[in-house]
Amino acid sequence: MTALNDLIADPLFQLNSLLWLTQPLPAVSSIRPLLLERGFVVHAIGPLLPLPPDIRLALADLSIATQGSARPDAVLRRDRDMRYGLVECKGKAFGTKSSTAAQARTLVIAAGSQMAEILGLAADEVQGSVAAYWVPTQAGVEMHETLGLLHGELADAKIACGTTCVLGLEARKDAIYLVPDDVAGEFFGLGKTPLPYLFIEDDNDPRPLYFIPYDPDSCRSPGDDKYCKRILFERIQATVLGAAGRATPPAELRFQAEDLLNSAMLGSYGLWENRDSAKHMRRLVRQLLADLEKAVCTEVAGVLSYVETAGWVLRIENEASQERVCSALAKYTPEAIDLSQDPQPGLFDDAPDL
Amino acid sequence: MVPIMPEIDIGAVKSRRDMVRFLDGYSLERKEELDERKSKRPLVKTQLLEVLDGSHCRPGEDYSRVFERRGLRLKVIDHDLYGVRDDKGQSIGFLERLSPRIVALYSMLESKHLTPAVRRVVIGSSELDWVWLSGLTFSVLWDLVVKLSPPGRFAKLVFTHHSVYEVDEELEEADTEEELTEPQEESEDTATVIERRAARFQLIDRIHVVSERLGALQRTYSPLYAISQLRFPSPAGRGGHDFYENGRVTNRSVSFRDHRLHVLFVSRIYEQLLGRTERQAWYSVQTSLKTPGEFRKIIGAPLTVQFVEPLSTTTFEQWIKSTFERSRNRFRLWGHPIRLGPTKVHVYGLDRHLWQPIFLELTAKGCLAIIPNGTCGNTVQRLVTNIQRYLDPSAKVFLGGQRYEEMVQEASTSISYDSLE
Repeated sequence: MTALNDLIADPLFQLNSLLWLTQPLPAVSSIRPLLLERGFVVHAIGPLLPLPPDIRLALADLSIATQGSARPDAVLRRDRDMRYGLVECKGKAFGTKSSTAAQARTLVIAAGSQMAEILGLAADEVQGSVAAYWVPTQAGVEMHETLGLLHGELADAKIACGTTCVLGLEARKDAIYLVPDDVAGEFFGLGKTPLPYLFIEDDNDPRPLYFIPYDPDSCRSPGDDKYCKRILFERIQATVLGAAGRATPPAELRFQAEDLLNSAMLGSYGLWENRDSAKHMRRLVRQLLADLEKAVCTEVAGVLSYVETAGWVLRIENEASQERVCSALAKYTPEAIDLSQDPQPGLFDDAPDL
Repeated sequence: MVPIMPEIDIGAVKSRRDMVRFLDGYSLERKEELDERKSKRPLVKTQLLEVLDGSHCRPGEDYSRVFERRGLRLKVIDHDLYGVRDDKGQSIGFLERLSPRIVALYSMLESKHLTPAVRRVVIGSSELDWVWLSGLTFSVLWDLVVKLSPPGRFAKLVFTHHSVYEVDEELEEADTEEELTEPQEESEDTATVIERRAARFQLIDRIHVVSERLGALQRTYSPLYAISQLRFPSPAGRGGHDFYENGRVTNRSVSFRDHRLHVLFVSRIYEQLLGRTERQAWYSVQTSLKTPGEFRKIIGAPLTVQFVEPLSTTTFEQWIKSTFERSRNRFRLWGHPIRLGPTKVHVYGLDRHLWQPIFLELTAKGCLAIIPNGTCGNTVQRLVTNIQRYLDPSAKVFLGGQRYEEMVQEASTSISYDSLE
């Protein structure tokens, strides 16, 4: 159960779980899409929500730490009654004095009466809103208290803010359960009892396939970090191998870090505004491709190399060489890399796309 | 040298009308020979193939280059119609583009020559694939046979299921690719004794009899869900058109025109099915129209396959090992399984035939697949066909929350009369 408790505290597991809760699935699936069943779909993943100037002006005169804008992990929407929920995934609770509290205050304000404007919608297009924190149940009480205090602080300062709630996650023997508090139970239509959504079969690890495989900004246990890095590398390797397999020789294929990352992450890499995180991701790509180069060039000399102005270039001369390149690329496994080590800063870190 | 195919002067065929007239006459002669039990020359066969450009599931403009790369020479005869020869100049037949993605190769080659010839062309190409008709697709086509044919006509169905991943401790068979086509009879003297489930039945009876009893039989014995061959009786007379699960169609009727109409009908259902599969399944992160560049959401629907009979741990293990440790595996998949327990793996891999990405959760109870945007719908059809053939013939398949058979039914009802030539 310890491993499961680590898993449910991983924000990337939480985000991917949340996405699965809104996917169309048959009743026979081992994942029950509880939120979709209640009409909720994903409105946006990781959107940047700036606060309106009037609120920022009001906040400027106060000594309450907030941010000019915040990026919740997801926004959920239910069309039939125009409800919107900002959802933030956290591995543990935090206090009112922590750095995370500034982001939380911003989300609590964003979920208030100006939610429609913040989302770029007409005023009557939002009829209900909430800021929901998605945490392991052990952190639920503390999270609840913190949100109550933050809400109180803002209300005392006459800043309009929205309703807050906690969606708990609990690992039991048979399944991972969604444990809503009273507000979340009412808002999302989940009721008051814990609901299983990710069933555990044959003692297997319940984690689902990951839509978003990696997020350098979220904190994970070393084991989970290694797991996520491996998925990212597998997907990048598949992108390179797929391109090599589809090529019509003679061909020169160019791979740039940003394209590979977007391809591996269903296009969500472009979301990262955090330059250090983006740099870290590009470093990971270089780490993988440098290792891939060694493996492939041992089989077919000089076919894959890094060119400063073009990125990684794979040259396929003819069908015979294509077969050998594909075979070498297919044989390589990212498991060979020490995934517990982060790559060192390099010379081309500041190159935007290499 | 004995001619492989009755040599015809492709140059003498100047138009589609010429080709149809020629193959019509040829079909009539062969049917008469068949009826008199003295068939000497091969029947007309059609091989349906899908053509892709390898990245966007859209066929390239110049078909001839796709086939030239695979050693076939195409010569334009008419609009979307070509004469086909191999690299030695031997006639193979005619190639007709039926729709943007599907082509039909009409040939009078014997099966034993046509099958390897097609295999050579398709197997190393990421631009060509067989048309995959799964047992579930055939079950919907069977309903159409019932509707289209008088109840007293004879139906012919073949059911094929081999539990190749059930480990026979006496024999560990290598998992190599095999072609899903007309089976070769095994010699009585050389046949190996293998103890695991293998079923192959041929059922010929009047349509009303089969129609009344097939459902009950399938519920009693699940390999009967794995339909691998189906005959559409011809309205032009005795016989009909035998469709195989790899898109091969044999004309056992008197009329090539009728044969072509059935080929067109099924290929259009298939193309609709591919389109629907891709529209629903393709996963991507899309930008909202209201605030481009800012609000992104995930679009798509997963493919869920539920095994009605869960696999044993050893069968599951054998399936994973055979599929991902051998490059030439039946499922034509590549990836490194990430172990998540005794009967669960995740694979962020590729369809190794089309070289397109697919993310899979494989368990003893089924399979869940994410199909990223751009991956061809054929990957799904091949996966379902192979699951029914080798793992669980009665597997239930869903795309999102919708049953796969419903999608095939919708695809079949969306074919309008004016879309048939």
